[in-house]
Amino acid sequence: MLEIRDLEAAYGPIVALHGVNLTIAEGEAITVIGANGAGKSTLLKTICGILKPRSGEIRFEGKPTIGLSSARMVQSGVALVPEGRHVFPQLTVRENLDLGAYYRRDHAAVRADLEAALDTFPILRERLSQPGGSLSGGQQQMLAIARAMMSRPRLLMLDEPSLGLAPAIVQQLGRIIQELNRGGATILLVEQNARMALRLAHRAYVLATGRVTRTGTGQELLDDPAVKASYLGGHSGT
Amino acid sequence: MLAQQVVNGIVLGSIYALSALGFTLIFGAARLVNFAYGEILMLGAFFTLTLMSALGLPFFAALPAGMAATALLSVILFYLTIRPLTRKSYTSLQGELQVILVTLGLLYVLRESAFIIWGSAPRKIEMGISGIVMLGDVVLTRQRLVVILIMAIMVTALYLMLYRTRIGKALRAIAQNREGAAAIGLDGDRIIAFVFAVSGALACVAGSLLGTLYAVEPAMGGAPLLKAFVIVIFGGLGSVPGAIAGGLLLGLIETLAGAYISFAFKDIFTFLLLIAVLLLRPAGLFGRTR
Ligand SMILES: Nc1ncnc2c1ncn2[C@@H]1O[C@H](COP(=O)(O)OP(=O)(O)O)[C@@H](O)[C@H]1O
Ligand SMILES: [Mg+2]
Repeated sequence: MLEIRDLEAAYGPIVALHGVNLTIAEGEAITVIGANGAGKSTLLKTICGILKPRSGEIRFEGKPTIGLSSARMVQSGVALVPEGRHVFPQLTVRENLDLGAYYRRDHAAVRADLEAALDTFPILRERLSQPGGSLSGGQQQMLAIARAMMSRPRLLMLDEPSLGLAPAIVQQLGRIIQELNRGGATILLVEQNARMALRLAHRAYVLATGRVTRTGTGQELLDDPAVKASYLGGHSGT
Repeated sequence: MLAQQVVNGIVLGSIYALSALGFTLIFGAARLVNFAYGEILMLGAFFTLTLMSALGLPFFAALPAGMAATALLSVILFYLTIRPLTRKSYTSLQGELQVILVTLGLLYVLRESAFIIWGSAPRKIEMGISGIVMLGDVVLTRQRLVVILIMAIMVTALYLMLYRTRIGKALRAIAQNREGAAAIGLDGDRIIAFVFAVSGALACVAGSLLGTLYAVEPAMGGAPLLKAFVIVIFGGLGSVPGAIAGGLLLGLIETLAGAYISFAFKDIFTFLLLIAVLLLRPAGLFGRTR
C-alpha cells in the first residue's frame, strides 16, 4: 500500500532523513520507534505532503505522491494525527470533527462515520458542544484521532499519541488503535515510548538519526537486547 | 463638541477597521505579513474610480465591480509571487523572510505601475450623495453615514462567511492551529487563495471609501498599511474582533487627539498608546498568548 524508497528530507542544511526505506502492506499495523530527533515526525510529514523531500520516492497504492499537497493526500486516503494533538481550541468538538471530513461529499456516510467515531470515543459525545481546548490531554488525543478518522483514511498515521498521557490512558489508546486496525485501517504508528507500540505492531522499524537501523516483527524488537536497552528502559508499561 | 468628534472618529475608524481586517485575515490564515497590502488598497480605489470615470457607473455599482477586480488581482498576485515560495519552503525563517521581501518588492512595483497608468495627481471619488443628518446637535454628512453603513455591512458579511460557511470554519481552524490544519489538509492553496480574494475585496472598499473622503493617488497606500500594522498589534495578530475594535479605537484616538491636543502630533498619541498596550498586554487587546 505504501512504499518508500531512499527518502531524503532536509530543513535547509539540516538533513533529517538519510535514505529511508519502508513498506506497508494493506491492513498492517506498522510501528516506527526512535529517540527524540530521530526524524520520525519528518517522515510522517513527508508522507502526507506537508514537507517536500529532497529526493527519493513515495508510492501510495502504486501512485507516486511526492509533490502532492496535504489536501490532495487527505483526499486520496492518508490522514495524520499530529504530534502534540493540535486540536482547534476555540472550535467545538463537533466542529473539529466536521473539519476532518472537509473534503468529503458523501454526506450520509459522513454522518454514519461521525456516529461510529462517537461510539469509539464516548467521551467526545458528551463534550460535542464544548470547545476543543477545554478537553484534557487524553481527550484531546482522542479528538485528534477521531478528527483524522473522519476523512475515512485507508492509511492512518499517528505521531507519538502517548506523549504526556497517563499509563492507563495509553493502554486504552493502544486498544483503540488496534480496533481501528482490525476494522480495516492500515496503521503507521510512531512512538518514543515503545512498549505499547511494539505490542500492537505486525512489523516495526527502528529509526536513528534519520536512518533505519533495525526492522523485524513487533515481538522480535521487543525481545532484542539492543532495542530493550535503548527504547524499553523503565518498567512503566508504556 | 465631544459628541461631534466621537462621530468623526467612528467614521475614520470604520475605514481603518476595514483596512485592518483584510490585513489581519491574511496573517491569521497564512501567517504572512503582506507589505503590498496598502498598494492593493490603492489599486482597489483606482479600479472603482476608473469604473466610474470610464464606464460612467455610479459609485454603488462601481464599488462591487471594483471589489471583484481587486479580489482577482489579489489572487493572481498570490499565485504568481507568494505560492511559488511557500511551496518550496520548509516553514522556516528563511521562507518567511523570502515572502516578506517579495511583498516588499511588490509594494514598489504596484505603486510605480499605478503612477505610470494614472499619474500622480490626487483625484476624489464622488459618492453622489449629499446632504446632512442631524443627530441632536451632531452634524453628520449623509456621505459619512454611508461610510459607517458600508463598514457595518462588510463586517456582517465577513462574520456570516466565517461562522456560517464551510470555508469560514476552515479559516477559523487554520488561524487557531496551523499544524492541526495541515494534518487534515486544510492548508490547501485554494483556501489561502480564497483569503487573498476576501482580503483584496476588503482593501478595495477601504481604499474607495478613503477616496471619497480624501483622495485617490498612487502614494495613498503607505498610511493605511502602517495603520493596519498598528491596529492588528492593538487588537491581537490575526484577530477579527481585534481588528474591528482596534480600527475604531485608532480612529477615535486620532480624531480626539487631533481636536483637543494637537492636530500636528496626533499620530504620536497613537504610538504612545500602542507602546502602553504592548507593555500591559503583549498579545494585544483580543490576542491570546500561545
Ligand atoms: N522545522 C525545523 N527546522 C529545522 N530543523 C528541524 C525542524 N524540524 C525538525 N528539525 C530537525 O530534524 C531532525 C528530525 O526531527 P523530527 O523529525 O522532529 O524528529 P522526531 O519526530 O523523531 O523527534 C532533528 O534533528 C530536528 O532538530
Ligand atoms: Mg516528533
